[in-house]
Amino acid sequence: MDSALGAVSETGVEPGEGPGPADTGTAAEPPDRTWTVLIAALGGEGGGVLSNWLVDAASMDGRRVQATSVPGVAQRTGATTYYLEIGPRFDEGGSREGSDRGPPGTDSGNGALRSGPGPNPDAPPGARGQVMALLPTPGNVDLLVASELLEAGRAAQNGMITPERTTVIASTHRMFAIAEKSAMGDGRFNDERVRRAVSELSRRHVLTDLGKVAERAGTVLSSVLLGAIAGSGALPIARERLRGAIDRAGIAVEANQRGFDAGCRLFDDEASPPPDSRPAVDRERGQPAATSAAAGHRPSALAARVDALPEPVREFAGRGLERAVDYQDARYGALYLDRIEGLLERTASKRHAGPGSRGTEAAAPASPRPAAGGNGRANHATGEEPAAHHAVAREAARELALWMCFEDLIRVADLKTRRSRIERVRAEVRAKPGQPVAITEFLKPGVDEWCSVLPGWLARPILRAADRGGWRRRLNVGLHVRTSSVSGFLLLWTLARLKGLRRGMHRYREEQERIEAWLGHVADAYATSPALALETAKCANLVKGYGDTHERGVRNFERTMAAIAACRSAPEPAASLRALREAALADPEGTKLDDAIAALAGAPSRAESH
Amino acid sequence: MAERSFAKEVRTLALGDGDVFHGEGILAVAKALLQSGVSYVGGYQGAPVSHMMDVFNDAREILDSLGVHVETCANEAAACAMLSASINYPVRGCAVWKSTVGTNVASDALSNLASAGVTGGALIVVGEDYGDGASIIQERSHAFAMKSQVWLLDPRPSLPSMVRAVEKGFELSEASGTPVMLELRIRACHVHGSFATKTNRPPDFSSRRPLDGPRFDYERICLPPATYLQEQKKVKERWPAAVEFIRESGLNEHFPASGPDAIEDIGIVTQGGMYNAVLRALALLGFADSSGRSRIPMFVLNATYPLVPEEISGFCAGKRSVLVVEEGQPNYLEEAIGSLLRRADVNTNLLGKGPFPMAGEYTGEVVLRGVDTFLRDTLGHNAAPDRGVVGAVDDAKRRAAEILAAPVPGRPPGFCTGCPERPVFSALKIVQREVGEMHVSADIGCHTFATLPPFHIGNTVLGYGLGLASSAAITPHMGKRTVSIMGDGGFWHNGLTTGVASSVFNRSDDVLIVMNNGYTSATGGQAIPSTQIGAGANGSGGRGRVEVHFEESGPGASRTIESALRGVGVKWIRRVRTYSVATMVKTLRAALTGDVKGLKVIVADGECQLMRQRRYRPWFAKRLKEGRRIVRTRFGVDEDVCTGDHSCIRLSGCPSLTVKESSDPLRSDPVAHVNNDCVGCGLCGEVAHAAVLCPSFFRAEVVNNPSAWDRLLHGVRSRVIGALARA
Repeated sequence: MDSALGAVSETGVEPGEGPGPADTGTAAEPPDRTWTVLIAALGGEGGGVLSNWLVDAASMDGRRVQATSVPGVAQRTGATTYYLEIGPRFDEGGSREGSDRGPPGTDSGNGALRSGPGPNPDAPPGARGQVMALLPTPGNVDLLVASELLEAGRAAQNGMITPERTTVIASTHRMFAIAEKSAMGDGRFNDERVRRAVSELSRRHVLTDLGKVAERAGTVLSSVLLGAIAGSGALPIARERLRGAIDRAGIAVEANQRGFDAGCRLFDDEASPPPDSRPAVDRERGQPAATSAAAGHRPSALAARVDALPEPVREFAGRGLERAVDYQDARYGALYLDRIEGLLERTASKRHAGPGSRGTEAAAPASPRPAAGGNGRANHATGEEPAAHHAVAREAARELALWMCFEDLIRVADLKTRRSRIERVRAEVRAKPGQPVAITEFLKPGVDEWCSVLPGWLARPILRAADRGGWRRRLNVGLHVRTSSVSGFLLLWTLARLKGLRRGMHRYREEQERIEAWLGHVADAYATSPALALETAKCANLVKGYGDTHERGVRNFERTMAAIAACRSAPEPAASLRALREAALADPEGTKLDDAIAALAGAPSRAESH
Repeated sequence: MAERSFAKEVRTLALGDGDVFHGEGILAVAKALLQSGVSYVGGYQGAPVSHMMDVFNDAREILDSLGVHVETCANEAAACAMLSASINYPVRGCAVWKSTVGTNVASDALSNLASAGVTGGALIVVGEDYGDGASIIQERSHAFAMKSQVWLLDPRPSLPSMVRAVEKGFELSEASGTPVMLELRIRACHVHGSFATKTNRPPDFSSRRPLDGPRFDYERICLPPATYLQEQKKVKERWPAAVEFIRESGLNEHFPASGPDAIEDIGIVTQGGMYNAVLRALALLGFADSSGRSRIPMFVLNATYPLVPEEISGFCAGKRSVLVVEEGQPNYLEEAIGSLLRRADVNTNLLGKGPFPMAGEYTGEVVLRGVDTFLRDTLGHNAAPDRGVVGAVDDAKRRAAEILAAPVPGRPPGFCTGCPERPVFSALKIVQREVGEMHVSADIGCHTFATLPPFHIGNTVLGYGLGLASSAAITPHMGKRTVSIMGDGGFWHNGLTTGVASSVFNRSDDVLIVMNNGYTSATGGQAIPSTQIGAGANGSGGRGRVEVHFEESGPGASRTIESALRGVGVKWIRRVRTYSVATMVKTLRAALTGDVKGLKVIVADGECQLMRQRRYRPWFAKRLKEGRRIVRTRFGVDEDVCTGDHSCIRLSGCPSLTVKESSDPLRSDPVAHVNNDCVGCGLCGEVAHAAVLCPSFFRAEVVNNPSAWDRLLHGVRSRVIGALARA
């Protein structure tokens, strides 16, 4: 690097400009320059292979190169970094002396302990060659390569991406960290923020799903990354020299060359942004298509009722209607619409007290991300009021559809015996057409599940006896059902046919009661504020899963509903309820929810604070 | 037999005069040992020095031709005890391990070795596992050097410098009759660089050229009164000899200030291992260039113990202020330098911890800030470094934090995809729901990851092989049984005696789970006494490159662990395949709540999946290519059945079990998803069953190269199912 800091000059590339012709990139090389490369990767993503290629290419280019890593326990899922420093050419740069001691690439200088007695003579410093660091320093990274998006975010967080120097090549695909994926709801880190950090803090960048690029080229991520490095011109090494490293390593040469070319093109196309540079959905995300709940299943009379709904509610209501008809029948679809229309009516008729009372919170638009569900300031001009109750109905329509199509044995059997499902499984396991695939289901229905399909008068005494006898959780029948065989398929198929009897079943009755109660809470909450009603609607998300998980969800849901009254007297009712909901999703043991409810009870009430 | 093949690296060990070694730091040290005429090497694996033992184990031919004896020791105490060969005999020996944990284990042998003193050079290579990427408690090896009075080398982290440290280390050891420790930090062990090699030097004495016979020297016996004499010798003969050698040979380096604006009245004293980082910080601040010319004079301690008083006082004399760069704590060097300056009546202001933090790794940023603070505090306003340098770092971090809004989630290590240890902890979680929470004494190994998310199992970690021993006083205070975990690595390292024998002897009523993976897993798949040596074994007693296999039951299965357990008196032993979660749950329940008193041991069988996949993948590919019928198994989740609660992930944490955006627009939460890395270990299904979780999971068996019968059956089934299935 230059001794005067900040005077780092690029090889003919100005910020924001396209890459210089990389093949001639060494022409104006300053004599005392070190290029630094930080590779942020996850175990098994080929960071080590990439590092070795770069070492090889730099050595062959007649440069001193040093690479270090902290592999640690990386192979065991952790994040890992590789760090490289690449010096000027021995035949051009300032450390010519170094080459006298050995062949190009020899670590001659930073080297030998001085032998011989006496204090250190004033050896010409040049004879020591370049002193390369083993650790990256923030503000001093020329090239950051991230094999996964979050790792680019981590580098930014650590100050390793700076506008003066850093070219960033980052793949936008996500490998979720354990905290993100084990959350009881949506714990994913906000991708958009990482993208913004990279694009705002870097000198130049490529952000694209390199995993996909690799897949299309039929190769692995590391070769695409090497190609992208070559294309970026961020290093002084010619493109063909970098490509040569793949040949010299001699492993999967052809496939890696394809990946290399694909990677190169990412920067070649930089002037006109490649179509995939900002993919709308991540690799992990599927196509936004309707699920197996057959699309277009809208009896025309009911479809007309959907069209009559306010515009914001229509989308979810339409999908919800299809779902309910698919789940049970047209009558069930009608019930679904009855409930939405009922909610709209009850909320539209509610009138809020004058300004200054409870109207400081308004419903924010529904969003799948928890971070986005904040409280906006309300505008109580009459023209704005309907939007608020539409927003509540929209969210309720979404949750109601999921709830009304609760997953009992019949539903599970139904979903698992559809043609679309078999096709989906075959695609997921990458089976070729005609290739035999055996599918085994793991079912373990217990007392609850069997009782759920019995009529209530039969189920209730059994459940009571089970609780008394302590075998409610114990008595499970483990079934391995092979749905790819005729007998296994028929078992589930027959189970699915029981849906005609569903209305008489214990679980059905129970769920309908809970649903009615919940809708009542939503409507009541609207009297306090639209925001509180929206939060109440969202609480339906607490009930999910099967077995113990479901039971715990119901328990948390009921405790949360019971606490609405306390929320109402809190200074910010909706925020209080949201805190409860988030606490209920914070840990499976319910500890956080206990704390939150206790805190709410002890909090100064709204009346007291006045 | 190790995680990776070192065939290419082995060739570098044979390089001669005029050749150039390209490769990893720790392997350069291995080469340097051979160039120094080492007679024997012993070691115990562990990051960051595992590769040295791995490459030696793969390099039998070269070693045999030189007559160098190499042992993979049962633990670090055994490795250190090997150095006893250098006490009476003029043979050079080397022991290698991970520090400080390995040095802790070796310290009994180390104390006795240091007291007796050596005739032949004795070098201990320690991989200082400190800072980012370390897997152990954070301590310094420096303390061991001081308490046992062995000398400590901390060379500049470049290959030629490290190689010279090995060569000079042997000379120092012989000149002073004292063992020498060579301390290498993680990154120095893994640094890729090069150096000009020399031809290997066959050892003076070896299996090829035996010694004349045993030698008895009463002064070398560690028993009074010889021990009193040895202590006197340490301070009166060996120490002065070491100081003299370090001074004479110029091990430490003085780099005077250079350039027209050199600053002579301040200076920096640094550990050799920190030199590159300090120089980089000076360069970034505009006080040095990358070739090593610095405006601030530097004194580099490649030998950090003992210090040469005249060197230090000579460097500091006439300087207003000197900075000591010393990673880790306590700050032994800084204290020692302060003391010797006082004695020499040199009135220099000494700074170290202050500009630098007392604890934690000296990363690029820490060193930059520390050096910046030192320069700012000691130089006048005009001469001080540009504020913009550190300011730019602050800016970048502040802006990133603003945009990111929340800290980026960490990635703690966890079990690999399909790891056989994961199901054991899934079973433990399920059992705890039934019998209540229990104290779990964890141990060192991959299984320690169970203490991290998502399992959070393991209340204490006390050291390698010490899981069971650490339960001894807990069970009596709990009123119920505790569970201890031990890996097969820890079992043979010392768990059999320290844990099992002690527990049986004291008639404790505990439960022990021994993870039988077949190899040491965390350190990279090295063979251990219970490893099954199969065809191709070279019969060299567990060392050398051997073909191994793993069998959970049947006639070929290793019974070594069971036999050892029975041998020390354990009566209740069960072997359970780890992936059978239901059986594991049943066995654990029986062990925890049954009537049998005494130690109950469950040997949890499951081959390290990393190792298994390494064997299995080529085998699978070969069969596929030959057109033979082969079934590929993997798991999946029905996304329309999954409700997005992720209980399954909290009971598994498998890297291939992840989440994805639901394709159902009505669902806001991501759904569980099994990606293509799935190895089909079966845990997902087992857990879904054993924990009564949910019916979303399915197992898919894809038949490759199907037989005619397969195709017929598939055709019939598809037709019937296709006719019945809803769209």
